Amino acid sequence: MGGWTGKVLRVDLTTGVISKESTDKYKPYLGGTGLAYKVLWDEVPPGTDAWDPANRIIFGVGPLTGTGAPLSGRVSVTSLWPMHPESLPATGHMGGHWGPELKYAGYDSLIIQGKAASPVWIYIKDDVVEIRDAGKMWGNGIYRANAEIMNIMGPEAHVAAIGQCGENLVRGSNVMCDRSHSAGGVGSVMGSKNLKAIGIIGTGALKVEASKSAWKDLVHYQHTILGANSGGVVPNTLQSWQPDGYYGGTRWTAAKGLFWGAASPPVETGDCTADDLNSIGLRTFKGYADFGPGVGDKHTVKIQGCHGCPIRCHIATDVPALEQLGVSRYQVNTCNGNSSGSGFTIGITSRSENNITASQYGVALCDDFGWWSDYGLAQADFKWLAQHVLTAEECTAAGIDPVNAGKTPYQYRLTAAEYAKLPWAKFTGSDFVGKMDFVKAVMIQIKDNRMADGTPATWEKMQAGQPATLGAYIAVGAGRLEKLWPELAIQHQENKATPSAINYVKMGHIKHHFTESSDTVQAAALLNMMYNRDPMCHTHTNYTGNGLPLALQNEIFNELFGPFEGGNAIDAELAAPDFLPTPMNKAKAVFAKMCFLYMELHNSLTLCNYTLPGWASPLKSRNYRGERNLEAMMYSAVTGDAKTAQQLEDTGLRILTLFRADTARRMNEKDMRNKHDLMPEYAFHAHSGAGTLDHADWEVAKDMFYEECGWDKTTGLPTQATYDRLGLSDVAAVMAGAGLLP
Amino acid sequence: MEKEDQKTDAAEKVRLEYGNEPSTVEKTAEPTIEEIQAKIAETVRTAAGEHSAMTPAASVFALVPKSRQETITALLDEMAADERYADIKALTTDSGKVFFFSTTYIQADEAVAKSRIEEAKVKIAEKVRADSQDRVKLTPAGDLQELIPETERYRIAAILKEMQENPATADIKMVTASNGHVFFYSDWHMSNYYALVLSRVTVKDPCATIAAMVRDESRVYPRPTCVQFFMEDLFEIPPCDLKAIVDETLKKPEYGDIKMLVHPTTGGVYLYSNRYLKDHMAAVLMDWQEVGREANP
Ligand code: SF4
Repeated sequence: MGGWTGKVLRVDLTTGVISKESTDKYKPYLGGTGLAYKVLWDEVPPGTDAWDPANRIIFGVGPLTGTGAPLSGRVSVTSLWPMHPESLPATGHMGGHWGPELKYAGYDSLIIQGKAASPVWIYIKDDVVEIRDAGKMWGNGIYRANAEIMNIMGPEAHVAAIGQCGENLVRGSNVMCDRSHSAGGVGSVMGSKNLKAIGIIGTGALKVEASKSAWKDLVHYQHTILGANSGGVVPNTLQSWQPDGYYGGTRWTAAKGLFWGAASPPVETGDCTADDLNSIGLRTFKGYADFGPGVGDKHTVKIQGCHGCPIRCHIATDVPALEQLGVSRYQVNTCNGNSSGSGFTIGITSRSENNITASQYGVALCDDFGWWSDYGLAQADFKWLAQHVLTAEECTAAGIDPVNAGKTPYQYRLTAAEYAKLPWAKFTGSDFVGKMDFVKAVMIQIKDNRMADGTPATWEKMQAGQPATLGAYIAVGAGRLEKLWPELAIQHQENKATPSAINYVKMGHIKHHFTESSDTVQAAALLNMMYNRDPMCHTHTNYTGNGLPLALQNEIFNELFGPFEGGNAIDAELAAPDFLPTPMNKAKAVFAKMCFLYMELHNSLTLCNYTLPGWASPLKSRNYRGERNLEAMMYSAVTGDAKTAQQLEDTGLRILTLFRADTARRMNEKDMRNKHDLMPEYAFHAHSGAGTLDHADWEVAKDMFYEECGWDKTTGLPTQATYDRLGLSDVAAVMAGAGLLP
Repeated sequence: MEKEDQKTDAAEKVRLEYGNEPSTVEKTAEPTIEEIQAKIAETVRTAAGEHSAMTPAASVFALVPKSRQETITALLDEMAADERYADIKALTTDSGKVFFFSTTYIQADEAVAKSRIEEAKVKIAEKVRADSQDRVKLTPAGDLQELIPETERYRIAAILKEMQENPATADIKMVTASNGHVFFYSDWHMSNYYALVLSRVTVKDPCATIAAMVRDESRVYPRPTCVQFFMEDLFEIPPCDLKAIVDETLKKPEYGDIKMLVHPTTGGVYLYSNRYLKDHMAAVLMDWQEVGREANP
């Protein structure tokens, strides 16, 4: 079979045993997250903590990774999640070139278990796999680890490494590769295993079952269907070439007269017409989109991307002012990564020179320390804790003596000495360099992760009431901190908008494309309830953000997955005065299900869920129809295992169902519907800029979604029949044994 | 098994082995010289016989496969000497444009007069296409007058109609502004909607343009329109006048459906038509455009 190499690499850091095993038993789960869920299910018993040596960290790639199929450079890094208060499974998502290199080295994934006695890194050059001493690297950042390993392996090596945050068990820490690609949340699992980095060189080849010409044709076809990053299929501005004059709401920001201004010479993005496949890589001018006119365009050197990606969404910048702050003027990152550090500032005008400088200064620190912001939850919590002045009522509600009214939570919770360690005048002041000093001070406290007495911070010490640094309270993660500080738990539920909205969802995680997606409120809420971190799902927003008129979006969706009676999947409007979406219906349930399934498929095959699905296209000649079979066509051509879209969707459901079972088993919870699938209270109250859930309709939404998946409505658990249909009868048997079969 | 070990560039490599190519690869046979010549003759004769039209050289060249382009001259010389094609003649105009015709249907003197018109059509098409593609602007009807021979100017409407009926120039489209002024554009290079927008701008009634654009966005997508949109060059509204023009639009009774919203935190100003978009939805969508999208990357 093409695509897979046939071998999965396993490294046991406790015993030092390195083994290679057949991929066969994982093929029904494809690879990536699917393979990783299977590993966790089979090998990691319930009750295991994220930092227990028995936990696995799985670097999952799939049959498409490295084949050059468009958008196939991704890696899913799955483990028990350190940020989750109950260590439930979750995945961080990393792009770059590391995953394809693992495939060229001959491996369909890398499973790491155990704990090394002292810091190590893993050397992989094809068949040669070694555990090597990382003593010299430990204590240093990601940049240094990369340089050290490349000095040893050569410049063609691809390195995934953690920084001090991962080493020091900061729960929000990442593993990074290829300069700007990070898998959030899993850094401390590597740290807990004394694993600093993994360097790879692969010189093998992958088998594509299709002939070269057939493969070329298919890749070409897929290129014609693709639009821009985040699914945009029309340009963001009104452009003369767009055949129907469609425009707006997309990341297709290229335009005539708009340049990558810091390139030498500057590169004009220009008219990137839908049929000009050579300009696909120019369409998504994300530097301009994110940093604004006159700033983003001025400082963009180029837009980088993952292996096999024609779209490209990582912004490489040149900001000379950074040299005055002591870091390199050249930085690369994208989306939320660009606000990791600058999120600890206030009063910087968005889309200004100071904004890009602060952003890229933060990138320089965070990408070296290996910090992950939990998709911005850490900074939102920080700003509330630093700025919100507690009232007497809030104190009482949180069990705080009301004499503390008038203080901010940090002023009340931190010792005076710890509070005074941070330069707060620089946080609130207007001096820009002072603000950067503050960012640096906070970041150093986070990466050091210490108690007030200078010993390593632990959750147990915090629970015992020992004081910690402010950085350590960030490092412990929102899910635990709210247990320690009830005022934060109340804020997480109520989400009062001052001084900044937090948008926590549950169990330690923030929302991600939640009810602010006002056209798909129920589907977005379903996605946010399912995972044990923010869902990192973009299927819904990539489709509804494609820039086509909403009526056309519904028409295309209905053609692909309908017909439906009883209403459309995508709402044109919310009802006044409470911003309620139209009632839950069949189309919405199928839309939600497909969003889940395609995300699982993308993370398992692997393909990029930051751009797909390809249900719509930029082509007027196709009347903007895309291709439901895109993933199935790629999979079939590569592996030779011919599958239709519907068959592959069932594989997606198998993966999701296994994940669901594993989550329930670890929680030992039969009532997943009410104990896991929670919504924060604020989601049911009208507030600006988002749709509102209605309690009765939300229950219908869960009913319909469970039913679509073949899960029991009462418990939200998969049924015996569904397990059997999906080839998961062995999972059903285990669930039955645990009393978790509905 | 075909093998490939190829570095696409310094940063990216793709190492693949492929399955076998299908053993019989069907190739579309290239036409022979004879077949190409017959096709040219047929095209020229049909144009002349059915439409009484000359055939521009570009249409003839298009019939020759790419692989044989360098042999065009020889191929045509051969035709000139071949009695089967004795009726196929070429005519070069004063400006150097070449046309073909069949003497079976068009007499030589008639061809000279026709070639002038055909030449004008080519020039019109070239001008309109260049305006649409390179300058991204409409071509005023008046600009086309001088491209047409003086003796034929009274026939301009008929000439343009002929162009629209001929597939080779059917991309040349007409748009009439609300004040009755007529413009042309090529829909190969400019969408009908973009041409409509440009025609709105030509009327120099920015209030009407703003109202029309706002109604379109509220109706089609639907979404409110940020007033900054109107600072794009194509609207020809001086940024310093924009506020006054928006205020004036909001005051005019004929645009009573156009409403304004100001974002409470950013101060961003949006317009929407309450014919198509309810007030509260305009506010929700404004919030998404103004802060939501950036806050939810
Ligand atoms: S769109 Fe961005 S994240 Fe996705 S594969 Fe391309 S570069 Fe990577």
